[in-house]
Amino acid sequence: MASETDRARASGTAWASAHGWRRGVALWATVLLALFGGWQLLIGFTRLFVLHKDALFNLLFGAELVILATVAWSAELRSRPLRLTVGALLLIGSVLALALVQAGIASPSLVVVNGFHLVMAALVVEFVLFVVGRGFANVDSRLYEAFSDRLQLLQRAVGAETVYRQMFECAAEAIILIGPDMRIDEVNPQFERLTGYTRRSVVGQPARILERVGGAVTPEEIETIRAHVAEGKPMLKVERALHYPDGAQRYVEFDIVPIGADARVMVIARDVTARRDAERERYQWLTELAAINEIVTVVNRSLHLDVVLQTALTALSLATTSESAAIYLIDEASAELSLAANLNFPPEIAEAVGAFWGGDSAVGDILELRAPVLVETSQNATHRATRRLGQLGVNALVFVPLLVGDEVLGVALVASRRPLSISGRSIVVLMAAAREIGTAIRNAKLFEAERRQREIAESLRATSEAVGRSLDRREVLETVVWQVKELIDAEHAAVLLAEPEANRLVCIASTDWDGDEPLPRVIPGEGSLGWIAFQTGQPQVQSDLPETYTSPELRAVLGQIRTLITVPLFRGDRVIGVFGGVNKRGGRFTDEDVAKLQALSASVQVAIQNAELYEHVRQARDEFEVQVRQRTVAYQKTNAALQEMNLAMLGLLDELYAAKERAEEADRLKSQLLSVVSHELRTPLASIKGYTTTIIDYLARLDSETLREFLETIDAETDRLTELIANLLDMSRIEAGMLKVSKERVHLAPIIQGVCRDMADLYPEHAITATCADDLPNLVVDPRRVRQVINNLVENAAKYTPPGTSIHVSASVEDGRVLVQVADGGPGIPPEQRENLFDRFFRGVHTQDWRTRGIGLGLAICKGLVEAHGGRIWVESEPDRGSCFSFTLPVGDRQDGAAFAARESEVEALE
Amino acid sequence: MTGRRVVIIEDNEALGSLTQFTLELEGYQVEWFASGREGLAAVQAQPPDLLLLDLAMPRFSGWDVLECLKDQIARRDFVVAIITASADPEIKEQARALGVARVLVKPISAGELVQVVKEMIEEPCAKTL
Repeated sequence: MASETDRARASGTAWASAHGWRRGVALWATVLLALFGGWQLLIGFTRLFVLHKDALFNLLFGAELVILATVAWSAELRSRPLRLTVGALLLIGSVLALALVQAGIASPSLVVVNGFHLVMAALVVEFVLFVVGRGFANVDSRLYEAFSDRLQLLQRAVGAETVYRQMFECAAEAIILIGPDMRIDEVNPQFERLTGYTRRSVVGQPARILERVGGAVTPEEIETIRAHVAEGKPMLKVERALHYPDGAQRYVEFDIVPIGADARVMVIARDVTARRDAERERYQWLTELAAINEIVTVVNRSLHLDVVLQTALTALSLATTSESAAIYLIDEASAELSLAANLNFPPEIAEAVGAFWGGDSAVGDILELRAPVLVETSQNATHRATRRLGQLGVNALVFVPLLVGDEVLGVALVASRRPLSISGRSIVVLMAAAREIGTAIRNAKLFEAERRQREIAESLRATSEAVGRSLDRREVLETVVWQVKELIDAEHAAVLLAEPEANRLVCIASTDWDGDEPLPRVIPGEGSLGWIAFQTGQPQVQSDLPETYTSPELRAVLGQIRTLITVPLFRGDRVIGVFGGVNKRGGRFTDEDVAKLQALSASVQVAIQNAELYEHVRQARDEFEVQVRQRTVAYQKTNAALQEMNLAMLGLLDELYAAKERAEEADRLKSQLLSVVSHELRTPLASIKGYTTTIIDYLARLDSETLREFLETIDAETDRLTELIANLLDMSRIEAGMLKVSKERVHLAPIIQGVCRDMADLYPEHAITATCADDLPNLVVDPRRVRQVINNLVENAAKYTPPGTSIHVSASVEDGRVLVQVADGGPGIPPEQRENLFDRFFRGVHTQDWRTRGIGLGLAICKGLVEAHGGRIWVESEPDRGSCFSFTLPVGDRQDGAAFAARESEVEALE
Repeated sequence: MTGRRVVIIEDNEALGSLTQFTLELEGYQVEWFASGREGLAAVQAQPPDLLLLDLAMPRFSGWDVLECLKDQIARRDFVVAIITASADPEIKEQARALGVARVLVKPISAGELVQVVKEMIEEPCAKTL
């Protein structure tokens, strides 16, 4: 409406500026014509009353002029025919006036006067027609339209009033009209419904009263929107929370709209509570969906049960904003819930929660209900567990069943120190999360099962491979026991065959045993688990060995055996023995281990049977072949032993790699370590491998002399390897501080003499001598280790000096310590090498001939051994004058001596 | 196949003599040298069909030998296999860069050795990776 008016006004203004003077002339001319015409009519009527003869003339003339003015005012003047009509009318009028004068009805003087009038009138008419008429003819049609629009609007306004009133009354929004005086002019019925105020109580009141309606709209805001109008902002929107006397709260949005230019304002209020609620609801949904999404993403990221559980816990505690969470899973065997993983879940809470798993508590039904349960705790609760949890500061617990399909896998538990509320939606969210976690757990479990299957399959494959590779029973069994050990993660594994007539089991293959006491090779039948397995044909698993172990051999090792598993070995239907393991690493043997062994059992039996059959066939062959075979078996044994050694060495290499990573020593040492150890270990291995495989492949083509030579080489290389390994082991023990020194009271002289004798045999080209002071006291040392030190030093001296050099070993007492010196008359050690002489893997650069190859551990071990005895080792050397290695050993005091004397007898007893 | 000439350079007496022994059993004409310099001289005097070279040798190592024979190896005068006690992949890379066709890591069995020698002598190009 406002805009229409504006448009009309705008077009009028435009016209006025374009045709200003013409419009003025036309208007004034028309008004003058009309006034003059009216004046003539007035004279005419007056003269008619007094019967003046000119009355008719005046009337006629007046009428003419009025017609002329009316026609001029109307825009119809623009049409030429009308102009002709008007001209004709005026001509007829003039003729008529002349006729009136001629007839004597009008006074003749009037003829002149009116003749003048007529001429004037004609002139005026022409003027109007020609000049002003053009003005009218050029009147923009918009002028006319504007006038007609105004008219139409006016007409509409009369009907619109009703329409607007109706709209006002029926509007869905509350509408408040505020007058320029800031008083409320009018409100509609919706206002009454929205605010609870009646129309009567607010109309005519100051607008400030609206503030009472929860501060709905302030007069200041109304003033603001008035100011806004000036700035061209048509509306102000505010949203308020209205508080009702009954405590309810609703959100209301107010539009403040100015009406017209007279400072009136309309306030439109609508209830947006529902919209706000929906928005909040949607936001919460989104948050929770995001939480579920997070859980889904996170828990499905891994297939490892532990990882799945931990991430699920984190996600749950984040999603529910609670501090601690735990997951209990149903144990498949016992069908009981047990704690599988937890997050900030103190043991005392876990203990208190345990009470909920009973059948009498509501939570006991959770498995039936398959729905989350909220437990609010209280320090005054009657239920003991609830009260206890309240005392522990837990405010609420939520139990959520972990489901896959209809199956309950377990229960997730969230504990909060703050009150938790569970709405219907939260339940949906928690259930969705629980389903995801359940699925992830199921997947992880399936994966675990898959992995176990693979493990078993791998063992079976390795076993059958061993069977295929060799028909030697011993080799097959060696492979089997290693597989058993790996498969069930035991510390030790063995295969035992039964000798029923002797009432005992005999071990035919076993892995190494690290225990202090050796495990018996023969197990007596009396009440041993293996015997029970043999007799019943049932697998036996035991965590605490029964007291029925009566035989002294078994009782001796009872302390070392924590857990035991034995599975019977069948031939056909007959049990021929048992196999199994001892001491599961980090736990006890389970049914799963039994299943694994049973899976392996068939293949073990086939292996033994095949090997035995094969041996029977072999025995039927001729003597020569038997001999050859025996030799080959011997080589293969060596080979197997070497392979074992190889394994041990690879382990050692691994250890050294690990040591390398840890060590913060110089890089030079590290790289030397690697290349030296790798090279030095592989070199004898390469020979052994080469020689044994050559013997195996070309046995028939080797004459006995060559064979002998080859075997001797293997033997020598094996010794070299053994020594290397012994050195490496010593070194790693020293480094790890695990070196065992079994001290006893000994005298040094016999040891030194023994070493010198052995070395003189080994290096006959050197002159090796020894002197020991007479006052040498008895020492409390490990004789084996001290001998090793002296041996190393003498051997070094022999190796690194030219033949014929003298080597002298001496022992004396100095400052209450025993000093042992090994001096040689060799070329000496350059000063730059002396510094690192006792470092691991250090070897003199000038000692690169084949015989002096070594791993460079000798002196480092000497240093470690001497230091383990509380002594010190050092070297002095002069170029071309020889070197002197010295070390000290402390003299044990009397008490030590006594203690070790007692120990000595024990050692003797053991030996 | 028989009568082909193999030169072994290996400072470890036990291994060198064994390798010679085994390959001779297989019908090859084998020469074994315990030092890098001697072996190099023999190879340069008369290129063999195959050179079996130990890397870790004192004074004049397998690397030095390879360096001296670089051009001949590039001309494919003969093929070279190195025998090393180190499983370091870098060694493999370096050896390949010098034109070595095969890298054998100790320990190797007689069977493997014979197999490799056969392959390399019969189809040296196909095995040059």
